[in-house]
Amino acid sequence: MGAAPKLARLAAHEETLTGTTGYMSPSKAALRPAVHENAAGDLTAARRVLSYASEALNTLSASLDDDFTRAIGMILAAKGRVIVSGMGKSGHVARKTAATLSSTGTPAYFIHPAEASHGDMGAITRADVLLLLSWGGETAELSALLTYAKRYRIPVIGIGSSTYGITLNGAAQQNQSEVFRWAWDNTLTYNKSFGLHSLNVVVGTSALQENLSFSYEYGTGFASNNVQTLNSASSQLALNTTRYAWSTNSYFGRLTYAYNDKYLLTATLRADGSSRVGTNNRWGTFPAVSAGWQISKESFMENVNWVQNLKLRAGWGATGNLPPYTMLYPSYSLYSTGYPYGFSSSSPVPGTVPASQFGNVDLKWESARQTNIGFDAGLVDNRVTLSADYYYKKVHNMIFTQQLPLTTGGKTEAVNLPGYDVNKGFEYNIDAAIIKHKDFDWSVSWNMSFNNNKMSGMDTSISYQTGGVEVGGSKTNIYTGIIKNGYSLGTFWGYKVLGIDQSSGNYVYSDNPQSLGSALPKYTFGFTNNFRYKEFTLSILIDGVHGNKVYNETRMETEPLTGYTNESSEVLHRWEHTGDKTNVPTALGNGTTNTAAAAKLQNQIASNYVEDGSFIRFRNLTLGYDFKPALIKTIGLSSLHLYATAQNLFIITHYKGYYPELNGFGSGTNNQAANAGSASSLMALGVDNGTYPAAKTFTVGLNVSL
Amino acid sequence: MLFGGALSLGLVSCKKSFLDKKPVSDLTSANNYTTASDAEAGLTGAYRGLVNGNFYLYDNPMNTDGRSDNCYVNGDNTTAEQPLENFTYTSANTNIQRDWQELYTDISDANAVLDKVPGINDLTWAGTNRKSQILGEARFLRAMAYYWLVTEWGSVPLVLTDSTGSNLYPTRSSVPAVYAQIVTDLVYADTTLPVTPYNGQLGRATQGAADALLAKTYAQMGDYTNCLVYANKVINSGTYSLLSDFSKLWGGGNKNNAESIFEIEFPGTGYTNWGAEMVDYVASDAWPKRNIGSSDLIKAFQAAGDNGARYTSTFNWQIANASFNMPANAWDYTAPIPFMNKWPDPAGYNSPDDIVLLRLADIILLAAEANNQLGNTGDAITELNLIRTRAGLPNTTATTQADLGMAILNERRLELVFEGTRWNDLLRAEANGYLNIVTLMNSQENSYGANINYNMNADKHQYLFPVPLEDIQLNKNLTQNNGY
Repeated sequence: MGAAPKLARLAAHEETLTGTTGYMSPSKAALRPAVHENAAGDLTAARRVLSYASEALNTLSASLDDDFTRAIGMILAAKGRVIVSGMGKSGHVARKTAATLSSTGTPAYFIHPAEASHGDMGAITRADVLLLLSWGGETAELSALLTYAKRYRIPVIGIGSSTYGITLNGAAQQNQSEVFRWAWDNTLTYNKSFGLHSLNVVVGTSALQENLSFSYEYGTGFASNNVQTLNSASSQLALNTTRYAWSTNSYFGRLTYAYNDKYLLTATLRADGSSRVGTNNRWGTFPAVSAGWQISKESFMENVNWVQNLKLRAGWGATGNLPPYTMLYPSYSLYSTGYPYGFSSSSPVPGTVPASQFGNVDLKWESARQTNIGFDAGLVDNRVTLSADYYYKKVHNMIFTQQLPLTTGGKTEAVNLPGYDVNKGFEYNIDAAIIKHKDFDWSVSWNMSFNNNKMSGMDTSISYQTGGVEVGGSKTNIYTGIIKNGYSLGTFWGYKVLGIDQSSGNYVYSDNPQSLGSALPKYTFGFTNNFRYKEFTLSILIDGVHGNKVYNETRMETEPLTGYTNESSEVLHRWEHTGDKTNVPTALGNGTTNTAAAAKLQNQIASNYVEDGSFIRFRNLTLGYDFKPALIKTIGLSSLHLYATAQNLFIITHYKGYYPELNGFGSGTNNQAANAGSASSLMALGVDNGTYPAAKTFTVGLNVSL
Repeated sequence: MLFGGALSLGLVSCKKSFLDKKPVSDLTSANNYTTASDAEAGLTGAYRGLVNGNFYLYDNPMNTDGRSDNCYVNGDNTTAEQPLENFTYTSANTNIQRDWQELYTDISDANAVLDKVPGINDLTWAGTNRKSQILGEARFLRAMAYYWLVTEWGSVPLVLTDSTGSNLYPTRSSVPAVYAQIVTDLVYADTTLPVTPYNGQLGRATQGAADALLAKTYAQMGDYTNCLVYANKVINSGTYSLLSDFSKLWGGGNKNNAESIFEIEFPGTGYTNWGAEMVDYVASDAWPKRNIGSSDLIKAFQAAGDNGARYTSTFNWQIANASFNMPANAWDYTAPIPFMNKWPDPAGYNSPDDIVLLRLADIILLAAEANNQLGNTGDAITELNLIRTRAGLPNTTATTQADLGMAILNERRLELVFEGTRWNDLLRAEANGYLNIVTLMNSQENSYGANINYNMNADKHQYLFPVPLEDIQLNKNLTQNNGY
C-alpha cells in the first residue's frame, strides 16, 4: 500500500526559478512579435537614454577622483584576471566591460553572480580583481560575492550609481518569489514466479501541482537610513504581484515478464494529463515495449568460452513533452491591460487590447517515438565489454511557438509543428582492461555517439525563424536560426561571405540567405585511460565534439569595424590595400557613409560570425599514490591516498571565442522548440554571447581512512 | 478493493478541475469582455493603438507628404527612411513592414471589440444605444486602418475577426472589396454614432468623423456623387466651423477646436506625441528632422502669394542643427530651411500636440473637388474661395473644370501640408487626368534648380508599397504587388 503524500515547500531562490527577472508573464516572455509592439516608444526611449547618457558622462567626468586612480592601480597590480560581475542590466554592462577589457589586453571574464554563488565563485582567486557593477548597490547576489571576496581577501572595485540613491533620498526594492509544489505518487507492485516464468506488474498514479507567486515592491524617499523597510518610503511606490499554477496527473502501468532469465519482455503504458497543454487535448498516451534476449545463456553458447555475456535488445516507445515553463497557459488568448487613452486630452482611462498570444485549445503533448536496437557484450573474462545502440527517434507534434502572419497584428500561437524532427544515431562504448598485471594495469574506455538530425514532413514553402541575438544599442532581436524541411534543428541561416571585394575592401555576400551549418555536432566522444604502476595511478580523460558550428555573437560586438565600441585585436588583420590577403574587411569607422556595409557587419547574420565549434579537450588528469597498507598501519590508518588533479588542462579548437562549449550546449532535448521568438530559448542553439569558460583548476588532495 | 477506492476518491473525483488551471494574472478570452466596462476598456485600448506605434506619429507623414512633392524625408536611416524619399523601397523595408503590422494591430484591437461586445448584455446599457455606439466607434477605427492600407498597398487581406479559429492565412481581397468593407463600417458608424462625442469625451469617433472619412473614402474610390453627399453632410451639420485664424488650429493650446472633426488626443502625460520631435526644429537637439518642406512646396506658396498666417504657421524657418542629408544638397542647410510647424510643441519627445486626422477645411476642399468633377463649377468655386479667403488670398480666377481642378489640388496642397493628404490627392488627380505622378516627381528640382533625379519608374509600381517580405514568408497565400 504505497500511498505516500509528499509535500515540499521550496524556498524561492535562483535554483528553483529562472530568476525573478527571467520569469515573466507567459504572454510577455514567451511570445514576442516579430516587430516590437512599441517601436515608437523604443525610439523615444533610445533617444532619451542617449541624452541621459551624455549628461551622465559629463557628470561622471567631473566626479572622477582618487578612487578612480586607485581602481586603475588595482587592475594594473593584479597578477590574475579582472572578474566582472553584475545582475540584470548591470550584468549586461559587466559582460560588455569584460569583453572590452579582454580585447584591449587585460584578461577579464564575466561571471554571473547567481551562478557564482552556486560554485563558480571558487574560480576567483586572490590574484584577481573583482569588478562589481550595480545600479542601486544592494543587489543580493552581489552581496554574496562581496562576502566571499572579503573572506578570501580578493580586491574589489565597486561601480555603482550612488547619485541615483542620493537624488531619490534612497530607493529600495523587494522581490519575492515563491514556488509551492506538492506531489502525490502511488504505486502498487505485484510479483509472481512460477517455474521458469517470472512476472512483475506495477500500476500507479502520480499527481503534481505547482503554485507560483511573485511580488515586487519599490519605493523611494527615505527620511532616514535607519529604517530600510518600505514602510518608510515616501514616494514613487510601485508594486506588482502575479500568480501562476500548473498541474499534471498520470496513470501508468508496467508489465515485466522473463522466461528463464533468457527472454525478457517489458511493456508500459502511461496516460499523462496536464494543465499545460490545450484544454481539448489534456491527455496523452505513451506506450512502450521492449524485449531482450540473453544469448549467452543459451545452451549453444555454453562452449564459447570467450563470450561471458551477450544480450540483444530492441524496443519501441513514446515519451511525452510539455510546453516550456515560460508558457503555462497555451490554451488561452490573452489580453493586455495597461493601454490607457486620454479622451479630451485629460487623464488617461484604462484600456485593454488583445495580447500577442492566441490560445490553442487543441495543443497536444509533444511525443517522441523512438525505436532502438542494440547489444551488450562481455568478452574474454569480461575484460572487454562492448555495447552499441542504433536509434531512430521521430518527434511528433513538436511544440513550437509560431509567429503568425502580420495580418493578425503580429500574434503568436503555441502549435504542434506540422512535421517531424527526426534523429538517427549510433552510439557505442568499449571498455577494455588491456593489461592486468601485479604491478601494472592499463584500462581504456572509449565512447562515441553519432547523431543526424533533420526536419521532415514539413511544408517546404514554410520556414520558422528561431533563436536570435541582440546586438548594439538597439537590442532588436535578430534571428540566427531556422526550422526548415530538410535541415537540421539549430541550422544557422544567413548570408554567406564569398570574399572581399578588392576594390572596396568590403565583404561580398551571397545574394540570398542560406544554411550556414548546424549547431548540432556530427559526433561526440570521450576517451579515458587508467594506468596503475605499483602504488601509482594515472587517469586521463579526453573528450571532444566534432562538426558543430557556433555563432560567435561576441564578434558582432567587437569586430563591426564601425561604431563607437572597442574592437578586438582581430581587426588588425583588416583589409587595407588592394591585394591584401585577409578575411577581415576594411574599417569603416565612426560616422561612415558606407551605411550599407556597416549595417551588414553590425546586424546581418552572416557566415563571417559562424565558426567551427569542434574541440578536443584534455578534461582531467589525475595522478595518485596509494601508500602501502603495511606502511600506514603503523600510524593507525587503514588507507592513505595522495593525489593531484588538473581539470581542463587544455583544449584544442579553432574556435575564436572564449570557449567552444556553450552554456546550455547539449542541454535539454533539441525537440523542445520552445520560445522560438526569444533570444534565450533553447532553440538559440549554438549562439555564443560570451560564455564563461570552464576554469582550469589544479587540486592536490589527500584521502585518509582511519 | 480498498486500494482502488482510495485512488479514485483521491484523483478521479476532482480530475477535471485539477487539470483546469486558468490564468489569474492575465485577462483571457474566458474572463474578459463580460461587462459594459470591459467593452469600454477594449474600445479605449483600440484608441490607444493609434498612438502606440509609429504610423500616425512618425511614419505616415513620411509615407504621404514625404514621398510626395511636399516634403523631403530627411531621415538618417538609410535602409528604411531614405528609400521613401528616393522611391527605392523594397519589400524588406522595415518602415513599410511595421506600418503594415501596426495597421493590422489597430484592426485586431477593433476586431476584438467587434467580436466580443455583441455578446455582452449589461444592465447599465438598458435604455441606451451605447452598445451599438461602441461597435460604431470600433468600426470607425477599423475603417480608418483599412483606408490607409488600401490607399498605400492596394488590395490587402480583409481581416474582420480577432480569433484563433478564423483564417489566419488570408489572401488579398480586391481593392473594391476593401473599399466596400470600409463603406459598410463607416455607414454603420454614421447611423449609430452621436453628433457630439459620447460622454463629452473628445477624441471619440462621432457621426461627423464617420461622414468625413466616408467622403474621403468615396473620393479615393472615384465615386464623387457619394463623396459629395457625405462631405455636404459634414459641412451642413453645423457641428464644425472654419476658424478665422489659421494659426489657432495648431498646438497644445488649440486642441479639439471648432474646425477639428477627429484627432488623436495627447494629454502630455502617460503617453505623448514623440513624433513632433522627429520633425520640429529644436534648438537643443541635433537630430536630422524627417519632413523638411521641399523647394517645390515653397515655390508653390510663393506662386500663390501665400505669405500670411497659413504660411507662417505651416513652416518654421531655421538653420538646421544637423546636416541635411536627403535628398543631398536639396537645400543649402547653412541657411534657414523650412521645418514643419503643425505640431509646434516638441517638448523633448513629450509633445502634448494632438494629431488632427480630419478637419473641416479638408472636407470643404473635398466638396469643391467633388462638385468640380460633377460639373457643379459654381459650388466648387464658392467652396474653394472659403478656404482662400481664410488664408488671406483673393478669390480663384479659375473658371473651367480643368483649371479649377488644378486650383483645388493646389489649394489642398497649401492648406493641408503635413496632414497626410498629399499622396492620395496626387493619386486622385492622376486618376482624374490632371497629372502624371511619375512625370511630376521626376521633374522635381532642388532649391538650386537642379533636377533631384527621383527616377520613378514609368511602370508606376512605386505608387503602391510592397507587401512586407516577412508577411509573404509567413503567409504563402499572400502575393506581391507588381514591380517588387
